[in-house]
Amino acid sequence: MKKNLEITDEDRKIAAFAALAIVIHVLESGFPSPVPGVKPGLANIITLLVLFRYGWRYAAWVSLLRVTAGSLLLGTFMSPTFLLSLSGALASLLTMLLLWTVMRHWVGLVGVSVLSSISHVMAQLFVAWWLFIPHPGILVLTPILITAGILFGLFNAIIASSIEKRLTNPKHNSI
Amino acid sequence: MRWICASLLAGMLVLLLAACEKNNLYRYQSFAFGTLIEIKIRHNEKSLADQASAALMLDFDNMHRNWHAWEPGKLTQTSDMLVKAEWFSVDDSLLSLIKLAKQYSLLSSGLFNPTIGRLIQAWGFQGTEHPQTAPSQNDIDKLLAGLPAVKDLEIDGNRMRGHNPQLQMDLGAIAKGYAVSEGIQKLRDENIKDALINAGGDLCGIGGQGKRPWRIGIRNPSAEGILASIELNNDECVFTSGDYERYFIHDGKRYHHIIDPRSGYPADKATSVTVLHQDGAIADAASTALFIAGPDGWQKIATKMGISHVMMIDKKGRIIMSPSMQKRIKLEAGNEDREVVISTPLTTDRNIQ
Amino acid sequence: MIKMKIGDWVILLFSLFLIPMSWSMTKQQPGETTAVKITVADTSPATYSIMENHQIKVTGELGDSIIEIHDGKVRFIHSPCSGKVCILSGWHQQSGDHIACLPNKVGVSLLSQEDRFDGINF
Repeated sequence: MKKNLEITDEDRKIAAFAALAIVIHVLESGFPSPVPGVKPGLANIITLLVLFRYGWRYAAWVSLLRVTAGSLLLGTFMSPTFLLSLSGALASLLTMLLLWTVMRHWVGLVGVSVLSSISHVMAQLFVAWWLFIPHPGILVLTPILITAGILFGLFNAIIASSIEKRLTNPKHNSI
Repeated sequence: MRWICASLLAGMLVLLLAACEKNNLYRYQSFAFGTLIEIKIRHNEKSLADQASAALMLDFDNMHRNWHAWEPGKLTQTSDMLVKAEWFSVDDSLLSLIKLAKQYSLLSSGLFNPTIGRLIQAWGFQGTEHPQTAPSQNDIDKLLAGLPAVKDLEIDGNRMRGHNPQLQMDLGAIAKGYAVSEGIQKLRDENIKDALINAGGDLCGIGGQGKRPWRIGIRNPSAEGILASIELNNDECVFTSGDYERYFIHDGKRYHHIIDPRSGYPADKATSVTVLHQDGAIADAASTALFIAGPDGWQKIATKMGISHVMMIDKKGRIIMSPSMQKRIKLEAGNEDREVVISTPLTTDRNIQ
Repeated sequence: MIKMKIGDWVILLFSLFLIPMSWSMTKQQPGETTAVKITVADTSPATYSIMENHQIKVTGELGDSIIEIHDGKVRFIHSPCSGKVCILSGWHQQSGDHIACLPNKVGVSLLSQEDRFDGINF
């Protein structure tokens, strides 16, 4: 069986979305954040849109490509930051997978975004505690990060939703 | 696939809930024995910890009332009967305590004397108000003349008879220790492995704080802050007697509540004594007896009572420790320039290392 | 505005409940700060009195961090990390507070009497 290395339509779509996500990610990292480690995670908007439009596999590719390529571009590849990013991404992807497969009928953008945001934050806290600072002090960050996660999750969902409306509007071309 | 995901999701939720149920530290506070009692229990079942501590607080309250030295209760009734010099039967738990007190009193060569309620009363320490004046030398001499001792307590089965009309029981120097040890035993019976009972500064602990033992800070007797710290080895009690706990000042002199039965006056050879032992009752009685004994007499009494871990602060502020105690005590920063005297090893090894 | 399904509401409600719960998990330590505990990676922590002015150098994952205790306060004055967040956070003195240089794996905790001991004997 000959394996084709042809680039499929799917690959193109994933690449395009990943590129978009990477750009957003890199731009966002340029902005200072009042509390270290707290970022809106705007690139997740892309992940959400892809999840709801094309399914989980697409979303997983886009998300992981974004984390990896983003860290290569920012020079944080294989650094603690990268590990934190990756663990957060994996956790939120897992949550998305579970929600998407089991509860697709009952959850929409808001639910997925908020819950995956919470698991992203919790995973990062756990990895930070496990690998970097095995300190009960790290718990102090929990409320701040969780609150921020929930708020930004909501925020991202709103933006994603309005983008999606425009996408499904027959007046515009579909991607 | 759906079912795998569903069960994974359920699993995550269960994990989340389970995380709330892991070994937690529960704290309880209540007033009993005339002091603040704090119980710390480390367990994964909150309801068990709640129940156990509530039962304990109730027990402490009962014991406090039953064994009160001057407020009407089982002990005062016992004292009244002892004076009558007739046989009478005694409540089981009170009798156990009195027997123990008698035993320790003998071992302490009478320095710990649970029968001198009258003498303590003369100093005004049997009452909730602060006493104001010292008894006259005359009064003290009279009290010393017929001073009772535990040999005047005759015990047969569950009956007692007194042989001294001045007998008045005051178990203040042992009751708390006995109660706390009983409390620890009750917790053990409930399968609680890690707990700390602190009754107004005197405490017993079992187990520890999970990854580390219970860490106890010993307060500086004469100043603010912590003098030293000690880590409890599984089942141990730390009891301290000091001249700063209950006292009054009269004519510029300080009179505290630990009365030396030999002189009739508050013992004045030490500032504080800290005893480490597995049993609370003996730790309590011993800290009193050794305090009265002072720097010159404590070693003999400690040996007789089977106590090996002693730390005494004498009137000059010197820290005197037995070698085994020195191994366990960690002096706090800022106390390095204090004079520390290590005694010769006590020839007791009936208890812990 | 947004299509909200039943699951979305459940999750939102859950998150709303999560916020106060996580805040209650981290209560402030009562009591005055008496000690500073410095942890490097997973080695045994070292504790210092807050009363003695000190400059403490510790070697973490990336290099040396220098922590200063002065006048009952503590701060990072040097660290090899890129963000220097630890240094920028300035002086700390509230018991229960923590500063950390995550990249260098150095943690600083401010302890009160209550935190250091499980029980006080007197």
